[in-house]
Amino acid sequence: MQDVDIEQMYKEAILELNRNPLNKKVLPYFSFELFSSNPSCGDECTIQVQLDRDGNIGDIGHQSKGCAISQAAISLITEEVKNQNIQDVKKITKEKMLELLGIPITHTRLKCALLGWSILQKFPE
Amino acid sequence: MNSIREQFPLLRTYKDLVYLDNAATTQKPESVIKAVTRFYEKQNANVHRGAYKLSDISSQLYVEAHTRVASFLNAYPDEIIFNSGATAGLNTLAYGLTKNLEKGDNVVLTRMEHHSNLLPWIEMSKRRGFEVRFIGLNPESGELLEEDIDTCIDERTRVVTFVHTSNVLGIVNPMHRLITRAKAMGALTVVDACQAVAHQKIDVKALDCDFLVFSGHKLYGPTGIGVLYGKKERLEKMDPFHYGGGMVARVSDLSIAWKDAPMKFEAGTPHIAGAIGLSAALKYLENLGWEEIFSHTETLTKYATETLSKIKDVKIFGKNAERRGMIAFEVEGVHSHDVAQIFDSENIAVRAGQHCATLFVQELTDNGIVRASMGIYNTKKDIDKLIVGIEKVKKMFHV
Ligand SMILES: Cc1ncc(COP(=O)(O)O)c(C=O)c1O
Repeated sequence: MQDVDIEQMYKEAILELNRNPLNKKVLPYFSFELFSSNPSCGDECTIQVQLDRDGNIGDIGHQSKGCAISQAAISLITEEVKNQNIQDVKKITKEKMLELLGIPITHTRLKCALLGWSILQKFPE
Repeated sequence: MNSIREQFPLLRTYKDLVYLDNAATTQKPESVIKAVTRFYEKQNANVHRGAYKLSDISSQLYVEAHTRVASFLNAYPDEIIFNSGATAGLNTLAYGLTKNLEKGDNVVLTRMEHHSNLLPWIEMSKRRGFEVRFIGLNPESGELLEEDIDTCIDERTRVVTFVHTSNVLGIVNPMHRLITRAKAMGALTVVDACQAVAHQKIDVKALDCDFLVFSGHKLYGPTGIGVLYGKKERLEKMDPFHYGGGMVARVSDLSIAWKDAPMKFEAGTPHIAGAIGLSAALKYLENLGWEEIFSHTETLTKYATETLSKIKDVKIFGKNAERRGMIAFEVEGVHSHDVAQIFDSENIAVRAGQHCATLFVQELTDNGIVRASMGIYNTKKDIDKLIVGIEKVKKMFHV
């Protein structure tokens, strides 16, 4: 049985994002809003996106609860996509998301790491 | 019960593993693994079909497995139906017992049910129009609300179905109270004994329930084998859920006569090796002694509660209720999955999350619940190891 490096997984940067998540806010005006969850963990996430005139993400906010990994991942992806065109956002691969997170992820935690990313993939173009 | 660990090949392989996820599934003793292997190596043939010697042997073993389960439950062998697990049993019952229900009738559940004793009834209520009612829970203690028992179960209640021992908090429900009320209102009773059977012998005559289900893998038997017990006269009246080979006494083009239970409910080739494995598990547990097993669980549960109570920032759920075989808790401010992950780095296996009981868990906490569930091979040392894990969580998360 392979051990993950737990210190790496819960490195300070991840814990900091868990304590103080980025973009965790309600947008007063938004173009789209989507919700998703991981029913077995109870992780839940709603993302709101405000598109500007050119179809770029002007502002983004999420309301979510879940484990440190999901909270950190949602922070990172919502930060990453700011000012990007929604079509480009949808081209962000799973691998890229994991790279952003930059920590070892076990099979069972993959769905935590990908929750926020998977919501952005579902936004209408 | 210290040398018990030695009888489990997986636990011999992983010497440092602290396995505390027994409510999800238990490890298998050597005798069970051997019984299954022996079957495939020396006894394998289909049952109730061939006239040859091997088929005779496997049929006999399969019948003996019914007998052993019957004696475990204090039932008759023809009241024991083998299937793939509790989920199959509960679906069979939800289908078979609601066939003639109509608008105005109701089925009573509790808020504590595992999804397998919730979704089948909800689905049937959509198709057949009866009402599903829930006995609520006391948010503080986690126990069933006494007053709901009388208000929910009334003269239009046809079935009352409930968990014996909760898989989330380990709470033991007031069986006598529920069954007495159901009987007084003329309703049938279904008991989900999945968690209970790992810790105690069950007596269906003393309980006087109409039906009872459990899965073999939760009491040291193989996966894929389960038991549906039904009182003989109830099984006679119920329609099967699956149709196929081995269940008919006589077929003509238009009319079919079912064989008697259990055959009527065991269409198709059964999981023969599973039944034999389950039988071996029961034999193993009988040899250990049910009283011994029961008191072992009680001691560990009590010890875990006392030990974890002493730690700051740990909240135990259902702490003061009658609980068996597990302890459910949260480390305040930390999500249960993070706790379980850090425990894993100390080789402690526990379950985290919603435990197939979303509604119930969400009422208790946003962080999900960490559940440490005990088996016959666990010791006080394993519980002490939990403390090491919790301290590591607190350190890493700066709690
Ligand atoms: C109380 C309870 N009921 C039903 C089940 C379903 O059992 P299975 O998945 O083996 O069918 C479980 C197992 O998780 C359980 O704990």
